[in-house]
Amino acid sequence: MMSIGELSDQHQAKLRRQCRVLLLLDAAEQVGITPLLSARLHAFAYLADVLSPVWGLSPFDGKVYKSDGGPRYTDLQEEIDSLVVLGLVSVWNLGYEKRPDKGARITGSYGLNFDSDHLEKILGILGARLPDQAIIDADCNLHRFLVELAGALATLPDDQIELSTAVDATYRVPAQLNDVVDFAEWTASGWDSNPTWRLTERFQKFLPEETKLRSGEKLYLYAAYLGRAIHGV
Amino acid sequence: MESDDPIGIQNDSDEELAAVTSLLPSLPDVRAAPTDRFSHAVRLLIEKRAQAGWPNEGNSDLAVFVLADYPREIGEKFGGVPFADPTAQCTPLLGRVFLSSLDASHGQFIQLPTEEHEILEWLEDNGLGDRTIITVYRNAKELIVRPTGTAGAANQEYIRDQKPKATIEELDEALQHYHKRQVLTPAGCPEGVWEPKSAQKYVPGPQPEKSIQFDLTRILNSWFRDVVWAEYEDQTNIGRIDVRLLEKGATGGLRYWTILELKVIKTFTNAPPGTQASTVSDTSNVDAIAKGVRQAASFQENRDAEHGMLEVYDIRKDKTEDLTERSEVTTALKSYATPPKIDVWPMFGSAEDARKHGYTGV
Repeated sequence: MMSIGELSDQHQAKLRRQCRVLLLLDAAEQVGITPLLSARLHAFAYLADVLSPVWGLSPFDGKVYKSDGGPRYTDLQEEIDSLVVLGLVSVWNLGYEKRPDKGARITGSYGLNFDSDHLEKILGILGARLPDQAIIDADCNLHRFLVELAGALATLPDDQIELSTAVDATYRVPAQLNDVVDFAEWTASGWDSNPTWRLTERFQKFLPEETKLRSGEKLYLYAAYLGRAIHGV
Repeated sequence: MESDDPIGIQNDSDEELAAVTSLLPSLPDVRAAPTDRFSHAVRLLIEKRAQAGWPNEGNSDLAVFVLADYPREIGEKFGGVPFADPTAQCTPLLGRVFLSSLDASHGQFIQLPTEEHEILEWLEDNGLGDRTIITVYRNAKELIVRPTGTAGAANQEYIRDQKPKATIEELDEALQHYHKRQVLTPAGCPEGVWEPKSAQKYVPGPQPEKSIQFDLTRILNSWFRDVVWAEYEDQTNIGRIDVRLLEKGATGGLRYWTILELKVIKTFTNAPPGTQASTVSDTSNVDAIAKGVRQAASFQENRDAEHGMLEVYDIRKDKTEDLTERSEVTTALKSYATPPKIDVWPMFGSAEDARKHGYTGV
């Protein structure tokens, strides 16, 4: 069997994206918000990137292409479709929606396929089960982050998860070049280039000095902030 | 001139962020153990429903909540119906079994599949008996929490008709509840208060104060959910506040409401198996109480808290003498314009000892 190191860069990147989809969906399953609309899944992926520094993690993708319907990762969608074909992900209400300019987007609702014989073992390897099953210890920490973030986003009404990206502190920043917002890809100033992370750091200011917010608390507070911002509170 | 804030993050006003931060007591308790977090969430959901007069509910008396690590997977096996944010949606709760996420906000429900009195057997028969289970009884106004499932311990909580308030009377009630239900006898005590198998000899565990501090915070966060945020100091440096209770500030955010200093007075030191416990003198216990008075008063003043309180947990074998009346303590109290309130909570090494001292029903 071929090891990961023997795969081409392109195949490794594809594998990483597939793993990410499975971890995102696992987190969404655990907090009970699946099946997840494709726009919601892409929004979750985006928010996981901009909020990853809150958990001390690096984003999977440090930039986002701004489009009308919210964050949309073409390569991630390809892997979602691949995972459906592989029988690891289930899809409901498959369809498409026309875009204002031209073309269309695939729409559907996604969740893990619990009938798959391979899913449980794969999730263990990816850090979504007991630590001793994970190939990389740090993946368990990533999984914990995604579950807590999914829980925080679950405090928003379902349709507001995707709407929340519009008011996210990073996404609402005017795009610098070619409709791309860079918050961690090429920037030299580290997490300071991430307005979302900077906003979450400001919550601490409104608490007594000795009270130190935990990462999870910052995620829940940020979700509450997004919920209020959507309604213009 | 280049802006200091080229990406506009400062557009979010302090007022708005302070308002968001003040929501902390109503958000899921991420510091709690999963079973506590789940039971806090269910209790909040149920009490909100009860306090609103059980709107949208039928005649059924029972609701069941089962903590499900994968609600959809389990729910689909039983023909479940998805639910989301049952508080906002006013989803009927009674007469249903909820296969729920940790925060009791999402999952799937089914109608009660059996007679109410047979529900635990049904859960066991259907492979759900080893999960955290909470049964809610409207007429009896009680929640029964089974953290480890049907075979484990069952903890009873009352469904309150009124939302708790940040008042000293309410806090006193919560502290009495904690004393009676958790620490009066070794049966409910958190690990570490008593040395295992030596409670009857009144030998304390290695860190009784720390154990009570953590456990009391847990109970207060359940009691005051949505109103007050309880936090324990997780460092052991001398001079740290044991339990701080924070409430919403006038301009948002959270501010100190009450600080609790905890002291444990004892007859013996900790003694692991095979070693002899040494005696703790009354002088040492009195010194500890006097120090607690000074800490509670100083922290209250320094942190501008409304209340400073000293909670003394008495695990002495002979509790005859009230050590708070010793001159060292009364002198300390007199040195403050607003002296802290002192509560002394007797704890017993056995239920029999508790009964001998008038605590019936244990």
